[in-house]
Amino acid sequence: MVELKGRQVSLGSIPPVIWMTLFLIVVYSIFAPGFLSGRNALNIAIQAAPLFVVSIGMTMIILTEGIDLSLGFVAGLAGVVTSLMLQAGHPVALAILGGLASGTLCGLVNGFLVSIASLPTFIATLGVGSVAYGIGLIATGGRSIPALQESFRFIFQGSVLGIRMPIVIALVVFGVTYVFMHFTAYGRNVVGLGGNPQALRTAGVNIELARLLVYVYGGLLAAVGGLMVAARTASGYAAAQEGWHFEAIAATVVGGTSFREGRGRIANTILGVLLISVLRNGLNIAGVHNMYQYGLIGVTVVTAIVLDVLFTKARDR
Amino acid sequence: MKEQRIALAQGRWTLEKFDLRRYLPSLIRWFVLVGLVVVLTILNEYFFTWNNIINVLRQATILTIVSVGLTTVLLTGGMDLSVGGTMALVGCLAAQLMKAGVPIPLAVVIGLAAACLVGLLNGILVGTLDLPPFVATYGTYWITEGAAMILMRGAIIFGLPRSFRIVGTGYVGAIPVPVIITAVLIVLGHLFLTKTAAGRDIYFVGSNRDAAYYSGVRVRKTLLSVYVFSALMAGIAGLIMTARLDAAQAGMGQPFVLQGVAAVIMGGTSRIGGEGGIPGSVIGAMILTLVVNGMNLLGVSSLAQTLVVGLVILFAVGLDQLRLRWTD
Repeated sequence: MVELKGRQVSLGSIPPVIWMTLFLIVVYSIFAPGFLSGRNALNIAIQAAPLFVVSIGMTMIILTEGIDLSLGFVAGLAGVVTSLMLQAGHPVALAILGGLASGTLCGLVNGFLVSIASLPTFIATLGVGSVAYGIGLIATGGRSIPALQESFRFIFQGSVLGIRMPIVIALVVFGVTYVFMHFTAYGRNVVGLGGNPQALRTAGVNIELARLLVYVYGGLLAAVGGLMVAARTASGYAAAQEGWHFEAIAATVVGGTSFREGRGRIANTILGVLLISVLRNGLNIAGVHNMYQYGLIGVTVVTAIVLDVLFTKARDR
Repeated sequence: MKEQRIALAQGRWTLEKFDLRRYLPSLIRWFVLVGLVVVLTILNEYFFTWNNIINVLRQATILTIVSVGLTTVLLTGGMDLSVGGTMALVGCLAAQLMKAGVPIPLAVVIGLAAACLVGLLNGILVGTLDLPPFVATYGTYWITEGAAMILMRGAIIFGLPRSFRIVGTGYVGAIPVPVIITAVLIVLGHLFLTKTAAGRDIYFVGSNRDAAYYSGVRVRKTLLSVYVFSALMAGIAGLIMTARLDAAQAGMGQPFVLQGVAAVIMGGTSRIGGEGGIPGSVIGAMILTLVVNGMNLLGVSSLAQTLVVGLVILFAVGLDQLRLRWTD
């Protein structure tokens, strides 16, 4: 038992994700010179920001007992749309709006299929993702489209009041979503959607609309994340964020959000994103090739999920 | 009510007995398949030739085998997104072993054993640890894909032994070897599902897991067996693909995850489990293969294929949803 803010906290009640992150930090500090520095910590935060933005949307969707396997391709499409609009000579603000609109539209289609047409979430979103990917491929001929405008790249490379833009965007998105989820009736409905939708319906809530809006928001956030990456790489590419929905799901689940009963909080997703980002950053510094990283992330994520399930079972007992 | 019962007893068709809505999806499936053949025959004179028909059948083998395995998993109400990774892992592993001089049968057996291990892992994660199937199998997809990448180090292997390549390119009479293998697997799988107790358990677990458990079905064992079966089928598909292309590469199984799931659902196996079967999945796989083959024949850019497959999937689930609503 440890005393923390006057509360008794048992060491065993700390979620496994924190243990695993601490473990990784210790291992990397020993084996990857240069890992343990303030500069690198800032680096991790900047690298983690786009994934965090997408994961917030994914967490909300998972809280409604849904899933969205299109987010990675939606993010890629948003980058493609913005780059193509920039290439065509449209003003930067309009191009960004266009990218965000494409993501929102994909979210709307997802929401319609899942909520109104009541298709199974993960097959419907897999299909929409495949369509979004196909559109991105056809629009670009499978090539990467340059987006070199300084004012566009500002959304990743710039800084406001000395804070780098990705961190600013992530904090703003988190703040808005947090207030929304915890202090508005609609936000509480989202949590209720996973727990007991029938009770909500009886209480007069339009649960179809609430569920639809969650997917729309998820699509919008995917586009925000996609544009951040497009600004970082100065290009739009349909397959740029192919693995994102996996990483976002992983971050959400590792953070302790359950697929059943709408249990979990968006704040916990920070921990999941942190674990994945620390893992990736350390592997990069240690010079581990990209191809090993896929397998290692898979193993870590599955381990974390299994530990979390066992941990929850043990605690409930 | 009484008249209807008499009509039934006399063997006359009544609305009760012949509910068109129940048979509609199956009719639509056949209609789509036949319609595709007719349209492609009209659009391209080369399509309805013996060579191209054999070619289409051979193209369909890999997807069909994957779908046969996936059918059993979906019948239990589960999902296996790891099949693409398993295909790549088995293909790459067997190819590397053969390149290293290991005898072909041994390389094949080791490859398929690796597939079974992946299936075992899926089965334990889903059946024993009770993880959501598609999260667990998405995780193993990444693990197997990563393992394949590590095996290959980014390269492509080619120049495999001739006697292995027969599996993908050989003929018995006029029929390609992979088509024969596929036909055997389809028949065996179908007999297993419909004629054995273990097969009926699969349907039982899918339609009502709790009821199955309380009537003495060993649910965990059933779940374990379907995931192992699915991985084994994916492994066989990976071997055939490697033999046909005379090449193995990490990532080679990727398109088959989505297409396999689409084929099974289009084939009428309900995503909520307990309903459907292998014959439907075979038709689903044929439809998807014809769509891709037709796009190639008509010169549609390969970039459009993801888009079309995505639309086909949405159409298929939409149909499944309508059927569920109608038969409720």
